[in-house]
Amino acid sequence: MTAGALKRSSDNFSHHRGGAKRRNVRTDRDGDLVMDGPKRDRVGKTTGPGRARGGGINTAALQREVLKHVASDSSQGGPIRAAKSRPTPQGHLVELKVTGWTNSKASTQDDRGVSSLIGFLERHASKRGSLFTQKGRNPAHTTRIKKSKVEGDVLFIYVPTEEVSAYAKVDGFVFAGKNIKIEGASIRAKSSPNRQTSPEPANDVKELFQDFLSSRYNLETKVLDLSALGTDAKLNSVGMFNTTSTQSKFFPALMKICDAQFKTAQEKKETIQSVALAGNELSNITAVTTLAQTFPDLQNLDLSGNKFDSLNCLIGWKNKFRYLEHLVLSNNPLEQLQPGWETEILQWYPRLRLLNGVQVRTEEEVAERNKPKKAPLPILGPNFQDEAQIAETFITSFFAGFDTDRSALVNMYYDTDSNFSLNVNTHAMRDPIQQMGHKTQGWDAYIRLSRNLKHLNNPGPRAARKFQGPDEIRKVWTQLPATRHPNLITDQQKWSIDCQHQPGVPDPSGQCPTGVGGFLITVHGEYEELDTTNGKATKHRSFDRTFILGPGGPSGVKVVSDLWTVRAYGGYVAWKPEGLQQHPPQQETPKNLAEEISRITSMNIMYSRMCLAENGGDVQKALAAFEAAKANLPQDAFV
Amino acid sequence: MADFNTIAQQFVEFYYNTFDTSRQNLSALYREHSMLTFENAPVQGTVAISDKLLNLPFAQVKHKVDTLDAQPSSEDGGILVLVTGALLVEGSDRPMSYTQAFQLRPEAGSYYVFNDVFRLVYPAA
Repeated sequence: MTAGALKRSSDNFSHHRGGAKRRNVRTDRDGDLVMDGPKRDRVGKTTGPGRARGGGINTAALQREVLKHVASDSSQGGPIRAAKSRPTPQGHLVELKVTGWTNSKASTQDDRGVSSLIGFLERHASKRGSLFTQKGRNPAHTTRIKKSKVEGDVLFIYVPTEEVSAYAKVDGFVFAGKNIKIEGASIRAKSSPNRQTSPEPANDVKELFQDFLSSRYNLETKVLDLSALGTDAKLNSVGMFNTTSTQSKFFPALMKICDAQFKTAQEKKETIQSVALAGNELSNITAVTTLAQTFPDLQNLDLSGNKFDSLNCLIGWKNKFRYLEHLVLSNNPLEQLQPGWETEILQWYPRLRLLNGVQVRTEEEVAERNKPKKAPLPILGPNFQDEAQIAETFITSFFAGFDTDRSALVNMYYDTDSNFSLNVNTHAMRDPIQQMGHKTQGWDAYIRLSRNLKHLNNPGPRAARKFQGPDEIRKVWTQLPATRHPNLITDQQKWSIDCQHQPGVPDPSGQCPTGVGGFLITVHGEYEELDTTNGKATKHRSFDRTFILGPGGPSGVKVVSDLWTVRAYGGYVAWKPEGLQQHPPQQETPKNLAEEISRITSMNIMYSRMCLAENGGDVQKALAAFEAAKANLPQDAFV
Repeated sequence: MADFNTIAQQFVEFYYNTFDTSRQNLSALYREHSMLTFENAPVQGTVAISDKLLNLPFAQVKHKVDTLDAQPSSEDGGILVLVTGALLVEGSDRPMSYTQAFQLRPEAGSYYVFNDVFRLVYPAA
């Protein structure tokens, strides 16, 4: 976007806004919104306490605050974001001090009006808990004062941390004829006499943004209308677009404040289904790109009346908005300049049904396109507790990277705290058939690096064979033979991979002394050693490798520990489900129960046994689990 | 406190000795949030893990550790231990290769098993 683009008014696409602009009076406005929902008829709920704002907005402070909101990273945001991303555990209460109520009209009551006051506070705070009030849930959520006491003229109330902001908004309200004052360590003293000389920029900006958002939100249609921002009188009146820096920070800051209104992604998804960014003179999405992070589940998006001249201007949103159903791009130069753009945009959004109001996919086509695919890594054991495919993605890229570019792999996943060590099990039994061609195992390349604590007794070598940090790990990896692991998908039977959730691994930011969540992954498999001159396999090995993953690194995941055992090739029959029953230790699943499940469900014996094992051998649980999962089972699960 | 290598070594020795001689005493090494994955079957908690270990379909077993390596795994003193070896079940003369990964966690000057992932990796024969 060019400097000033948001600021310049755009006669063609500006939206008419009716209604008075009296302070603190919200008015309905007529709209000409282009989305396919019903016409708007009212604005979102007001959030402010109805308190006159003295002194207006300090523009310099505003700029500072906008910058502060944006500069801080998402997990470490300013006051607003921080409160959301690291919620205080439930049940933690904050003390607030309520004064100014003692001579109210209610003070003649037996309890000096305290119970009326508490009811008053709860009622008003409840209405102010959420910016985007959900339809049919009024008040948005009910807050209760958990505990209270009176000391002289002061009422102390105790409320959950997350509700403090709602109570803060009641500060200055008139209770039974008296202005009450609410104070607390976490509330800025809004009604303090110093306010004129020392404005509270954070509150002002937050309130400005919240008021703006609520005036642009339509509760009925669930549309957030951010059209023609540059012509918005309120934003202009505080100089939001006067400088390039506030202008470019405006949208990300707005998104952050928007995001902070929601406790869960689900709530956000249900509350805001459509966003209009029409008529903003955008020539690319740089200024508004954060929309995709804030609203990944958006259903309708209006980008009409901007200055996009090709799809390249929108490339940052390619493959974002995975649930987008309707996109409006009319009145953009690309319609003329890029023939065939419709075909390409269809590829970007798998659930797109309407483009500029025209149907481009039927419901059936969308369903067909998005039907569940077979799991990409079917080898993963039944105890594979992944989350957002983090562990799966890691495994896929790890073994490919280890075979092709170990240096890049180190950069991707290992940092100064990462440990790597390997050991050779020279006693492991060999696969008699496979090993016939290899008379000697030839462990020379590994043995002087082998860290087998059973035989390695001196502290010196023990320490020297534990490699820590990218440099040491890279160096030792370059000394090891070139490898080729089997394909994780086409040769899945050669792998056995398990994954367990792992709380309490070191937090790279050091903020959480007890550590943060990660994964423990155990991998059993095989690989070939390669002669790098001709790419031919020289040895066939089996291995066991155990990783602990934690957050960090460029991919968001780093290796905390990497332990690798190399041994003679032993095949993969041990974890072949068919092979299990041939060995005494594997007869732990009563055969007749698995057969019973097979008979009832028509699953084959292998799946029946797995199903039984996953449900602790409980037939009823196994059958219930089958009922829940049967639609997603592959064909070959059945007899 | 002893270094993690020594702790890992002592633990492994103790664990398999107990396993091979008085398996019922292993439950003292686990806690309510401990997880065991024995082959394909995941179980959690002292009682479930103890049940699982006591009901394995062999009364007598002998473990032979071939390799043992360990690394620190968390800032609060966790230790990741990887063992490979062979086990010989009663009435069988053929040892089976296995690997077992443990994660040990410190607790009041001692350690308990937080994760335990066991797999047989015997070759075809």
